[in-house]
Amino acid sequence: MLARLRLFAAKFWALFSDRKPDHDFDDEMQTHLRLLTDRYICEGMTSDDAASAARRQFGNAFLLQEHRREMRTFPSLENFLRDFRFVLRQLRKSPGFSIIAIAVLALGLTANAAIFSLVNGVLLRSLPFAEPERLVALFERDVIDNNNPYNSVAPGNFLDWQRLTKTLDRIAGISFASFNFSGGSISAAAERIDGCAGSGNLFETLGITPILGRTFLPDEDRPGSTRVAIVSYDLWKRRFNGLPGVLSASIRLNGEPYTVVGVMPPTFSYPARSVQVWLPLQVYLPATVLQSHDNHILTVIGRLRPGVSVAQARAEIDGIVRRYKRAHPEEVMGKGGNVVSLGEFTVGGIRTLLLLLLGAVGCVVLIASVNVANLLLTRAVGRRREMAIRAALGASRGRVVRQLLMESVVLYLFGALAGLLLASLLTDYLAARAPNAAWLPHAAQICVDPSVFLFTLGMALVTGILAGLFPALHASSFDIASDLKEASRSNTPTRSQSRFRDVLVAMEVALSLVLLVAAGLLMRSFGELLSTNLGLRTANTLTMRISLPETKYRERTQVSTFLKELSDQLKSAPGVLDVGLSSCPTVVLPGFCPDTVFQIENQPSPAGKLMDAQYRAVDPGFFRAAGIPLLQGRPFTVRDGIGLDDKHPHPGNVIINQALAKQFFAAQDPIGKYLTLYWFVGNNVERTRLRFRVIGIAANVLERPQGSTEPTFYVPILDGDSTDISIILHTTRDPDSIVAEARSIIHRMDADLSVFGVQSVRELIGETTRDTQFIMALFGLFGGLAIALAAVGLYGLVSWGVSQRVNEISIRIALGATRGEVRQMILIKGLRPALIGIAIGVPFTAFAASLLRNLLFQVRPVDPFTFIVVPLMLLGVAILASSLPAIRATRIDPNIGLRSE
Amino acid sequence: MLYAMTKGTAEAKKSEVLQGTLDLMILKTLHALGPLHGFGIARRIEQVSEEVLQLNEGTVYTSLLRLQQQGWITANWGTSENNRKAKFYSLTKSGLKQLARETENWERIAGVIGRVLLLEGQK
Repeated sequence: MLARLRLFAAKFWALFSDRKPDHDFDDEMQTHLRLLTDRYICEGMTSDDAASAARRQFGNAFLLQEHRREMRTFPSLENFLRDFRFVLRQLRKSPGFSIIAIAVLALGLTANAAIFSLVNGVLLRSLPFAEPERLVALFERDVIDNNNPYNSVAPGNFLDWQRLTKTLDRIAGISFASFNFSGGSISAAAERIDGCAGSGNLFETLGITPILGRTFLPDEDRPGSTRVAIVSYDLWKRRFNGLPGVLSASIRLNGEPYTVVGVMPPTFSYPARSVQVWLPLQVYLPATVLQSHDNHILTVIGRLRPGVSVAQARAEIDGIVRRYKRAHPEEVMGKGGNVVSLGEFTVGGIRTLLLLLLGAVGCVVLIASVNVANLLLTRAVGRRREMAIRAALGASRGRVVRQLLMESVVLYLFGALAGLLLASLLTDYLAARAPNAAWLPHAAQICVDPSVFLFTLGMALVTGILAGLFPALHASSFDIASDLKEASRSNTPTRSQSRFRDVLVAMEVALSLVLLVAAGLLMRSFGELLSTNLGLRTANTLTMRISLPETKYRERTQVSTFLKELSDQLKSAPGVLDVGLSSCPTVVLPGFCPDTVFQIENQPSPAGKLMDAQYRAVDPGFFRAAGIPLLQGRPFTVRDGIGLDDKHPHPGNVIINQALAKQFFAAQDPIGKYLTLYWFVGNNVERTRLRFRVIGIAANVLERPQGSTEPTFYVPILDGDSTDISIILHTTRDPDSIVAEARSIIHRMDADLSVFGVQSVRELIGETTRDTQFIMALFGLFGGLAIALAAVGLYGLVSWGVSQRVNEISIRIALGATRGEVRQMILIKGLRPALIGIAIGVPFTAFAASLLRNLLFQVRPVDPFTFIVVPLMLLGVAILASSLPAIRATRIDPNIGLRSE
Repeated sequence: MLYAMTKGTAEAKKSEVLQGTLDLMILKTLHALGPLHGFGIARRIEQVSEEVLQLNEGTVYTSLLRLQQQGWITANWGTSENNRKAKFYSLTKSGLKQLARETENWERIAGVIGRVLLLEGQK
C-alpha cells in the first residue's frame, strides 16, 4: 500500500515536472551504448560490428523509451494534457475566432446559468425550512359557493384544528399586517413596515431558530399578555446597528410598545420577503375575531407527524370542518377543509413559467451552439491539409477527432466559466425580480451553487461535443493523398458540408422563430394590459396611504373628524382638483380588498347560495376623484352613514356597482332596496347585520388589468370604521409635483403619521403587471439574442459559400452572367435555409405558444398578427444578412478571381 | 514487466530473469559495490551470473526507474571510468531495508521450493 502510494506520488510529481528526465535518459542510453561498443571493440570487433552488437545487447531502445515514458507518469492523462496544451496553443493562434466563439457561448451560457439558478433555487431545492417535505398548507374549501379549495381560514376553525388534530405535530396561523414602526437605537422617523402576526409555534413549525434571543413563549400568544416581538435581520441591522442591545429593547408598532425578544436569520423570509417584524397572533387579533368561524383571515401551515401522508391529514381536517359546519349550518365557513404540500403550494403557480424560461434559454444556448458549430466547420475545412499532414505523420483518426473535439469542448468550457461568472452577478437581481418573488422564501437559495455549476459545465460538455462532432469528423475524413495534392485548389464545397451548414442555419432560424414569436405574443399581451380600460382615470391621478393608529384614534368620531378635515385640507392644496378617500387602494392585487356576505331584504337568497361581494368604504369625493362614473342615483354626502352613535345606529346608505346590480337584482331596480351586511370589522369593533339602503349605482371598475369585474358595494367611510386609508387625488398637473405638498399637509395634521404607497395610478397598474413585464423582458432579450445570432450565422454561411465559390462565380461572370443573376444566385443560397427554418419553426412555435396560453392576456396563442409579422421580420433579416455577401460576390473580378489560383 | 528475452534458439539454454528478481539483484549489486552506473550494473550481473542469465541490458533502466520511484535508490550525475558522463545510482536507507526484506523473502521462498522439490524427489 505504502509502495503504491509512493509510486503514485512519484508519477504525480512527474506530471508537473519538465521533460528533462527523458533527455537525461537519452544521454544515459548513449553512454551505455558507447561503453558497450568500446568493450566489443576491445574484444576485437570492427567498430561497425561492435555498434550493432551493442544495440542488440541493449535491446529495443525506442520501445524502452516509450515504456519508460509510460512508467514515469500517467500516460492517458499525459496525452490528455498534451492535447489540451496543444488546443490552447491553437486557440491562441487564432484569437479572433476564439474570442468570438467564447463570447457567443458565454452569452448563451450566462442566460442559461442564470435561469437555471432560478429554477434550481425555487423548483429543485425544497423550501429553506427544516424537513420541508413534512410542511403543509391548510385551507377551508368552498366557503362562498365558489368551489375555491384554497380559502383562508377563520381563527375559530384554526384553533379547533390545533386542538383536535392527530395527524399534525403543529399547526400555525399567520395574519399578514403592516405597522407604523418607530424605535430602535438609531433615532429615525417612523416608517411603515410589513409585519406578520403568527401563532406562538410558527417558528417551531417551520423549524427555524432565531440568530439572537428566542421565539415566542406559549404564554405570550394569549389575548392580553405582555407585548413581545421578533424582528428581521434587516430591521435589526438598519434600526439597531446590529447591536445585541436589541434584545429587551422597546419598539412601537402602531403606537403600542413591544419588547424585542429575538432576531431572525438573514435568509429567513416568511410569509413574505417584506415582513420585518413578527408578533403573537392572539395579542394582535381582537378577541371577537379570534373566536369567529366566519372571518376568514388566516394563512395556516402545519407540520405532519412523521409517517403521516398529506391525504391522511386532508381527510382529518376535512372531517373536523364538516362536523363543525353540520352543527352550525348558519356559519359562513368552509364546507370542508383542505391540506396540500406547502412546497407545492408555494411554487405551483410559477412552475410552468420557470420551465418555459428554462426552455427559452435552452433555445438560446442551442442557437449559440449552432453558430459555434458553423465557425468550427469553417475552421475544420481550412484545416484539412493540416490534418492530412498529421495523419501522414502517423496520427490516428481517433487522435485527430479527439483533438478537434477537445477544441470545441475547451471553447465551451471557457464560455461556461465566463457564463457562470456573469450569472453569479445576476442572481441577486433575478431573485428580486422573479415572478411572485415577494412571496417566495427561496431568495437566498437563488445563487450559483454546486448544482448550477455542474449543470452548466455538463451542458457545456455535452453541447460542446455535439457541436464539435460533425466538424471534427469532417476534418478528419480526409483522403491523405488527394488532400495533400489539392493543396491550393479551392473548389466548390462538398455536398455534405454545405448541406450540414444549411441544416444548421435552418435550425437557428427555426429556434429564433420560436423565441421571437413568444416574445411577440408577450409584448402584444402586455400592450393589451396597458391599454385596458379599468373604468377609472389613470392620468393625473395620485394615490397615497396612511394608517391611523388605534391608540390615538380610538373613537369613530375622532376618525371621522380627521378624515373630513384631511379631505378639506388636501382639496385646498394647489394643483388638486378632487380628493377621495377609500378603505382600499383603487388598483390592487388579488385578495387585497375584503369581501363580505350580505342579504337583500325581502328577497330570499338563491337556494343554498350565499351572496357575497367586495366592499369598500369611501368618502363623498371618491367617485369624482377616482373618475368612476355614477350611472344612477347620487354620490355620498357627509350624512349617509349609520351615524356615530353606537347605541342608536340609523340605516346607512350604500352605492352598489353595476355587476352587483346585474347579478343579484336581475330585472328589479335596486335603488331604494335594503341590504343587510353580515359582518363588518373596523376600529376594534365588530358589527353584524348592518342595514343599508341602496342610493346609487356606480360603473364597474377592474381592480387590475387582468382582473375580472367583481360585485362591489361602497359604504360611507365617514362612519369612522376604517383606519387604513387610501387617498386618491385628481391633480391638474404631473402627480409627482403634488407629493411633497400633500405629505406636509398630512404631517401638519398629525406629525406621527407615516405616508406610504405614494404612487400614481399608472405606476400602480405597472406594478400589477410586473411579472408579465419581467417575463416579456426576458423573452424579448432571448429573442433579440436569437435573431442577432441567427443573422450572424446566416451571414457567415453565405459569405463562406461565396468565398468557396470565387472560382465558379468568376467563370460564370466571364461567360456572361450578369451581376443581377449572380446576386440572385447567392441570395437564394441564403434564403433557402431561412425559409426552410421558418417552415419547420411554425409548428414548433404554435406548440410553444400554446404553452404560453396562461401568460397571455387578450391575445390568442396563435395570434395571426404575431405569426405573420415575426416570420416576415426574420425573412427581412435573412435578406439583409445574405445581401451583403451577395453584393460582394457581384464585385468579383473574373480576371483576378481566375488567376488567383 | 521485464523484457527478459532469449536471443534465438542457439542460446535457449540460458535462463530468463524471473520477474522481480532483477530489482533484487540491482539492489544487492549497489549494496555490494556502492554507487554504480547502469553499464556497471549490467556488467556485474553478467559477471556474477557467469552468463547464465540473459537480459537485454536496457531493461536494467526500467528497473532503475522503478526503484527510484519507490525511493530505494537515488541517482547523481558523475563521470565514468573512461571519462563519459554517466548517472550513478546508490542505495538509500529505505533501499537498504528493502534489500534486507527482499533477501529474507527470497531465501524463505527458495527454501520452501527446495523442500518441495526434495519431497517430490523422494517419492
